[in-house]
Amino acid sequence: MTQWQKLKNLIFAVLEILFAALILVLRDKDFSHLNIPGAERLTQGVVSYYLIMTVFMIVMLINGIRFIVFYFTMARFMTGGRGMLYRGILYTDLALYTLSLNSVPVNYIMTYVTAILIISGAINLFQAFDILKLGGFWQFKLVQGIVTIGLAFYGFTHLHQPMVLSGICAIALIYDAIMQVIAVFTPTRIITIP
Amino acid sequence: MNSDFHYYATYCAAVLAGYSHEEAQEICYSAQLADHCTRTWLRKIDGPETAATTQLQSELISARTDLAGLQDITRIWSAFHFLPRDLYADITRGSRRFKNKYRLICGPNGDLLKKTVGIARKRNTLQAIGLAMHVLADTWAHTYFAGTPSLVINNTDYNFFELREENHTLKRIPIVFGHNPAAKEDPETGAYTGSIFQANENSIMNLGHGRAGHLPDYSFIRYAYAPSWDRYDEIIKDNPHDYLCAFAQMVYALRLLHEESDDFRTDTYAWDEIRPYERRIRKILAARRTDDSADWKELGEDLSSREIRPFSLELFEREYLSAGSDLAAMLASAPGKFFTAAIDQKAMLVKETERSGSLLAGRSQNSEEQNAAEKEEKR
Repeated sequence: MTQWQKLKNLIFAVLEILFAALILVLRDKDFSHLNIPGAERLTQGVVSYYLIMTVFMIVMLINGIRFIVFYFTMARFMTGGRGMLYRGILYTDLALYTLSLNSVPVNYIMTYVTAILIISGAINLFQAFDILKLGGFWQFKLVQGIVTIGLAFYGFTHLHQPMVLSGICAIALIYDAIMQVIAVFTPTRIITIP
Repeated sequence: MNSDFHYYATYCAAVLAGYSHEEAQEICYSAQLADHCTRTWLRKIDGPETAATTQLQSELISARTDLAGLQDITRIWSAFHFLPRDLYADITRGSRRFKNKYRLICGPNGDLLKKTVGIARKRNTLQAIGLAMHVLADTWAHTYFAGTPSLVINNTDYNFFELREENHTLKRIPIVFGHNPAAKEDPETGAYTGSIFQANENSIMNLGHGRAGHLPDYSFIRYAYAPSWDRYDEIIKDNPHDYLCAFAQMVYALRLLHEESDDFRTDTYAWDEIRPYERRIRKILAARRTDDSADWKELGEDLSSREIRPFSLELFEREYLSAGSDLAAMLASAPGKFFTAAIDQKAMLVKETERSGSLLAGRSQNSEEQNAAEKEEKR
């Protein structure tokens, strides 16, 4: 990792923590008494829920567009290049879907978040087994997988509560920020065989 | 290719081409040095950093992947380890960026190989000759990969098979690459290590043959796979055959350089010179192991009846450092001659890629000077 990449990762980690803090602050606020149209829906946790949706959508949309552009300029000429297009379409679609979910009950988006958490946790578990087979330090990935699936399970049992959704997202953001900081200060072992 | 071929096999080729033991030793030292001459090492001996012919993993990890960083990586890896076969390859599909990357795909008998041998001829030093032999040998081993980070060129997928001869039939044995840097490779069990898939086009994981692991570096293996750049068409890489061609071409090139002839032709091999040893060479190349050094060394010592010293970086270091700050002595030393040849080789690659309309390896100094002159004139 170059110094610039390290700095970028650190800035990103700080932004993640700030965003998580904002979610947690807004999480307890009730804006339903405000004299604005639709304010009656802005009960506890709903504003932070909208905030999460917006950021989700922007990040996914950017990623989706990047993959689609990459497909049309480069990847459509490569073996397996369609995977890049599917990635792009999936991300863009998920972004637009997330946008449409703004006016849909919380349980939809909670299902979506829990699904992502389950997939992510499952990947962690697979990685742990892979590392175990190859004789590396597998325990960390295993714990990571179990915690992520545990979070997903907790979210799944509280499908209708934006407060829980905000909490889970804030935890995930803080966790990711910590991992980014650790990655910055840990020497990377990767294989490059040119 | 590993030190077994770049060091010991190059020694054998040099002796077969008519060089003395001492000369052959100098040539193979330089051929092997191309895999050790990193910026880190050059800093240590206070050598010119522009002469770097390879990069350490730690250097690659911290390498920038912006335009300037990619050009730096491409200059090093394309010039010395993945010499492009055809910078003007006729390709109709893809954007200009794709075409430029496609044209960097390495392969034997390209025009740039002639220029590489030409540099060795022009410099006429054993070090330049050794470096040229490294480049020549790698064009055979690293065929189908490019010396620039590129997913669309260098990626491989699960369609990767070893073609193994069993009971007079070729069996297709699927290869699944592990990603543990500490894992040992074992040809018997098919345990090979490759770099991790990265969807980022310019990730250093997608540099050279990283995705295919060390397979191109093993002389015994034959494998079939669908390269990223060839739209699902499967290609077969026959390393025993390619390595034999590399050896025969090295002997041919070395013989010409020894005779101080300018008549290097691509696709020409010294089959007659190697015929008496062909069986033995084929046996070495076919042995299923990751290092053939012992057998090549034995062959080399049989050819010259002299003992081949093991490669040692310290010898170069001492010689270079003993020159002190005397520039003439530095340039006259073996490392100095190697650095000069390396800088020439890089300059040639940059000039040729730029001439082909691609800036993937950067701009040559001449064109920068020209641009500056043009700007000055306009002012």
